Amino acid sequence: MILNSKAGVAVIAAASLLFSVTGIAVAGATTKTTITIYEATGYAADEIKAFNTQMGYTAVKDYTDSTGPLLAKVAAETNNPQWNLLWVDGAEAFAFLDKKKQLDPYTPKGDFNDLGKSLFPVDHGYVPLGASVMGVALYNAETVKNVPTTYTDLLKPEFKGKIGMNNPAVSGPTFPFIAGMFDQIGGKNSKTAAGVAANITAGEAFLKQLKTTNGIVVNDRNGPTTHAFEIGNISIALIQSTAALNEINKLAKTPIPGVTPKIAFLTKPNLVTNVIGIGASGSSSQRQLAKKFVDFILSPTGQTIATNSSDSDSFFWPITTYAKPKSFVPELPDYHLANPYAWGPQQPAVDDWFLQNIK
Amino acid sequence: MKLRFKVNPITFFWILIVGILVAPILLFLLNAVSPRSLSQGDAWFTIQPFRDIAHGQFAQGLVNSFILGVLVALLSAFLATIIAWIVLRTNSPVRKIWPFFVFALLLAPSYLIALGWQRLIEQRGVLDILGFPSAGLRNIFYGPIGVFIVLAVKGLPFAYLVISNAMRSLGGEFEDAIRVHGGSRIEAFKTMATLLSPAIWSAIAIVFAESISDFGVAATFSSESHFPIATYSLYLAIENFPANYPVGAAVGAVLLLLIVIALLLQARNLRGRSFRTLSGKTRPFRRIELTKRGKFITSTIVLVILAVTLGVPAFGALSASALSGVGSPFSAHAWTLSNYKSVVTSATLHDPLIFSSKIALIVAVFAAFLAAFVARLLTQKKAGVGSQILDFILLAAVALPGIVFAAGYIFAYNLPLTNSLGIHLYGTSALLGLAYLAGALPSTSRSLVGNMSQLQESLSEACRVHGSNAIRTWFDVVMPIIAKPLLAAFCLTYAGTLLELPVSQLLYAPGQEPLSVGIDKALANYDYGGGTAMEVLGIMSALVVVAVAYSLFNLLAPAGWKRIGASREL
Repeated sequence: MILNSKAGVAVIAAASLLFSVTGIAVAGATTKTTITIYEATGYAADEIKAFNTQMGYTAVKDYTDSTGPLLAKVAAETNNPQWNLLWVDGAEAFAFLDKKKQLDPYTPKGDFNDLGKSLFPVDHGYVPLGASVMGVALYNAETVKNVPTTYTDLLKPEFKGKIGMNNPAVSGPTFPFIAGMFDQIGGKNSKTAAGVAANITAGEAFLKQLKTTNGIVVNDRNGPTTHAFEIGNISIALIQSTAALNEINKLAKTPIPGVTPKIAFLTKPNLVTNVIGIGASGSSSQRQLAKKFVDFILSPTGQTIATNSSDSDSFFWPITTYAKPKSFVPELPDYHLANPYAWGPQQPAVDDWFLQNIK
Repeated sequence: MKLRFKVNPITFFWILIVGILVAPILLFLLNAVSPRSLSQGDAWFTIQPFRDIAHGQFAQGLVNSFILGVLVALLSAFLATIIAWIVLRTNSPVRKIWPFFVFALLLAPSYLIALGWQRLIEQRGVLDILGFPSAGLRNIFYGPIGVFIVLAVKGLPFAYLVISNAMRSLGGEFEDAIRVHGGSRIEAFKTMATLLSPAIWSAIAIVFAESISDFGVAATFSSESHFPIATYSLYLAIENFPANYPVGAAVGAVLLLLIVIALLLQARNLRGRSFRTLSGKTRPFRRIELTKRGKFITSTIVLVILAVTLGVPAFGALSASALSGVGSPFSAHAWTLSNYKSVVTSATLHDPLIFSSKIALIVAVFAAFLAAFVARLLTQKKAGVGSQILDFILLAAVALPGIVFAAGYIFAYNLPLTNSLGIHLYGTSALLGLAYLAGALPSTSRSLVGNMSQLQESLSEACRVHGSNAIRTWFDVVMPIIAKPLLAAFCLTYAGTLLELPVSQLLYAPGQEPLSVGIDKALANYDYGGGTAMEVLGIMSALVVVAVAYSLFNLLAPAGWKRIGASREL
């Protein structure tokens, strides 16, 4: 072996570097099974904390972000998934993953109400956890005198520059909203590929018209869109029911002069399912642990955590018989549900189109 | 046949360099032309990603970045030349305070500067709260002008360091000759500027590269004002759904190409012309004695620049962190320390600061040591092709946009091949640390090359001949030469890592958010008070670590280490 001083210092440097890297990696290692969850659900941290406490160790590692970046991460990791659970709004993305065999089907324990039973896919590829509606128009009653009740109402000149919505490439509930809106505007049966294509064509034409005539303002998520509403940049926010209810509560407690928020529905609001999916790629013990966590969320304890949370994501309509919505959450209105398996595969193309043409 | 293995540690070192610097970048860029080879598409070879970025927001982003890069580079070089002249050639009172602030500017990440401005001018921001209407400023800033100003602020220290170094070496005889022959002070300045052309061209090229690579301003002003620039387009291509790595890689490749073109143009402009001003006869320059009016004007120029570059964002951050309800239309506003209290009591707010402090310390220690070894390799008397390649890699990596670097890491370390080799680093803080280290290594090692090249091999050889072992020789001979720049490299790496944005944003591990990600999330949830308090505490903690490091050095380092390196201290 040739080892001169030059080489010596190099090997010391390299070895010490590797030591540090390995050290950092080993320091975090544990012999107990752990899983990683990618989530964009406000009360998920409370559920994870309670579950980890019950397990006696950090069984579930939390990676939280907006839905869009999480789905991008999932897509980038297709060949080598790093997630064991994905928990976001919108069944479409899960239907797409299910079609690509990236999910481990599971029928969780729990007593489900009619809404819950209707939201399970036939193969139980993913698990619904709750529901909200999207396409709710949160409007300022002091400035909006003619309340819009249909999508075409949004094209009226009086709303020029005053309508805001979220970016489906980032916001989880916004793609189900767009899918449902396209369904209703196009009016074709989306069970067939031709029907979906026709609805997309009609929907895209409508959104383009809305952009051209009234210059719809696009923000990434519910938060920035409601903020734009609060500070008066927009008068109508097309957001999720949970965020709209939160805004009404917030402004009831601390009013803003000149802003009186109210809710209107455009045609039929679109149902958004809050969904959790188990990754097919984890080890057997990881998938078991993931299922245990799903059962925990749907258990009476987990449902109490969900509905007691102060986060606005907890203002949902539960799907178990033993969970009740918060007192101020109204009855679930008559809704439209876009078929996740028809629309899921369209999400990448529609989101991309939206980014290029509407945002 | 008997196989003989020669274990050569240098090979091991090269594997490391390729693993952390070369492979991630090349693999990411490969996406642009061969997506199928990395399971990102159907084509083995295609130029479709380049076609995709030739129109729409991607093309607009690239054009905007290019135009901004050129304008920012020209303005920064112009301002830097004037400031260097005031600071180095005159007796203006501001010459004593500028050197301190130029390093503060160098250390301040662009996203923090942008956030400082935002807190001031946003709706219901600090200016609104204090009763100054800000709508006009807001309309101006949320768009190309805001992006331009923040980039110019970040470009100025780079341009100043390059131009001031050249100006220091420029004797006073040229200006004296013009003045003696009746030339005005402005003509003397023009001649000096001409003689400084190499440095000015270098400054323009460097600032251009820095500006088009910047991600901080892209993630703040650019994204919120819907004014697309290339680094943010790249970020959106890989972070939004649907992720499009080939398109992101194509944007990255064009950015790199623009940087290479800038460097080539700089070289072409200087070719065939002589700017040799250093000789044995070079005479020291004489500081111009300014009149009271001259002192007032020069001081005002520098102070206004300092106010815009550092004062405004610092005031924005400090005031927003000490006010309740910034950015919110609710409730009354009051001066308070509650935001700082929130950071101390809330794990969500203080955990990122603690995590980043720890990882920055580890990275800074290893970056300093590794940089010393790399610098030693680069300055070996018998430096061969390997050293030249290493030098090229480091030079290229200095100019590489951080966002491209981070995207490369996502790619390289999540390949099935990487995993089958037993490397399971993706999604861990270890990978984040490695990326930080690889990002810091080029600039730190190159900053040590100058000092290291002063070292004569014979000194080490004499030491070894007289019985000293390799380690003792290193400490007795090499360390005195590089101790002070090594300390500076440590401090710069620490501060840079603590506040780093693009790599952190793309590579942080579940449950271990770095400081910049924590700040970003707090601000995204409209906790402006908490977010800005995190910013302020982060910067303060970096200053404390730097002060402690220098104090310990002064207290504990051998006298020789302090003395020899002193002349090259930053």
